Order: sequence, then C-alpha cells, then structure tokens
Amino acid sequence: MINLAVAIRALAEANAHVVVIGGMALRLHGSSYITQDVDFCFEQTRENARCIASALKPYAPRPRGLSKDLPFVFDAQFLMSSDIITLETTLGDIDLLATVTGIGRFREVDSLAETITFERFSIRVLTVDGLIIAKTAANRPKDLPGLVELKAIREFRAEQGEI
Amino acid sequence: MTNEQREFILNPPPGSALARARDYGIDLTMLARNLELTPDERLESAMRAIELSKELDHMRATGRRG
Repeated sequence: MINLAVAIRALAEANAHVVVIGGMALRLHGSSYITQDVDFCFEQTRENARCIASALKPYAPRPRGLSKDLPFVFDAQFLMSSDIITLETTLGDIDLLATVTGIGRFREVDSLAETITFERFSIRVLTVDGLIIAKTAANRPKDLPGLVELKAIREFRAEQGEI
Repeated sequence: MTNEQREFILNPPPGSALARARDYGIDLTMLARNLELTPDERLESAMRAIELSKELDHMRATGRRG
C-alpha cells in the first residue's frame, strides 16, 4: 500500500531536519504534477541521519534496485555514505538528497523553505520560488510543465499578496 | 476562493504567467481547484495520483487492458 503521507508524518514527528522538495512539493503548492515518490533534502549530519534512520526503519527501506537476496542494513552510516539515497519502502519510494541543484545543501534549502501545517503535523517544504530556482537549474525537459505551472502559481499568490 | 480569484486564474491577463501556462497546455480549471484545497487535501490528492500512476504502470507491465 502506497502511503507516503505516513513517511512524511514520521519524519515530521521525529523532528528530522528535512525539507520536502521535488514533485511532492509542487503538489503541496497546488500543482497537478505527477510524481511517484517523495523527495527530501536532508541535513547530512550524524545526529540527523540517526533520526531519519529511526523514523523510517519500520517501513523496511532498501536501496531501489538492490536484489532482495542481498543483505542490507538501513542505518545512519548508510545515510552518511552518499549525497543521493534512493529507497523503496513499504510506503512507497523515497529519495533523500543532501544537495539540491541550483540551491545547495540543507542549510540553503531550508532557508528557501516554508512550514506547511497539516491537521496532525507540520513539515518544511521548499517554497514556490525555491522550486523555480531548482527546476530552472536542473534544466530537465520533464520539469518544464511543472516549471510553467509553478510560475503561474507564483503569479496567483503574488496577486493575492501571499508572496 | 472568491469568484474574482477564480476569474483571475481562468481568464488570465494576456502576457501573464497564467496565460502562458494555459497556452502551454496546463489545465487552469484543475489549477484553480487544486489551489482551493487544504494542505491535507492536497496530500491526499497526491497519494491518489501516485496510486493511479503505479496502477497504470502495473497494467502496462502486465499487458492488461480495461
């Protein structure tokens, strides 16, 4: 059962230092962008890696594509080992990135994030402006529709005096 | 969302980013609807979209046709 909302909530409740980026961030700002996973930028420190490992462990994370026959331990050391971690979990696919193209590492990304409050939890999400910076820098053809829509959302929110 | 706000999205001024989005093929009625949703509703909608997308992938992979 895919339920990445549970993963987002688990990280929020663990007070993990993460920012929702990518397609899920677009959706949370009102876009119709289709994504199949949730991407987070995470602070790549030992303490935060331990926090993330503990929060996600119940959902059996494994590197995507790794043979089920191979042993794997999801722990802080693994999260410290690479800037890009792509996982499959019982909740769906999760990507953890230490760096966002066009913005930088967690501290810079978080400075361009806002807190979105749900009924039961809050999470940091890259702002529309931050997403425009990241998508523009990534310069991938698949991002173009999302970028066009983000600029429209930005215009609407600016018209409302929200940004 | 007020009627005025909806009108701004659905009939955007020429040269605006909203007009460019419409011309690009973005469905502005869907955008207006999404912008009316609460954060929880947007998250739920994203989950449904992922489920649908995965199901379509599965159907493609298994060759099922409806």
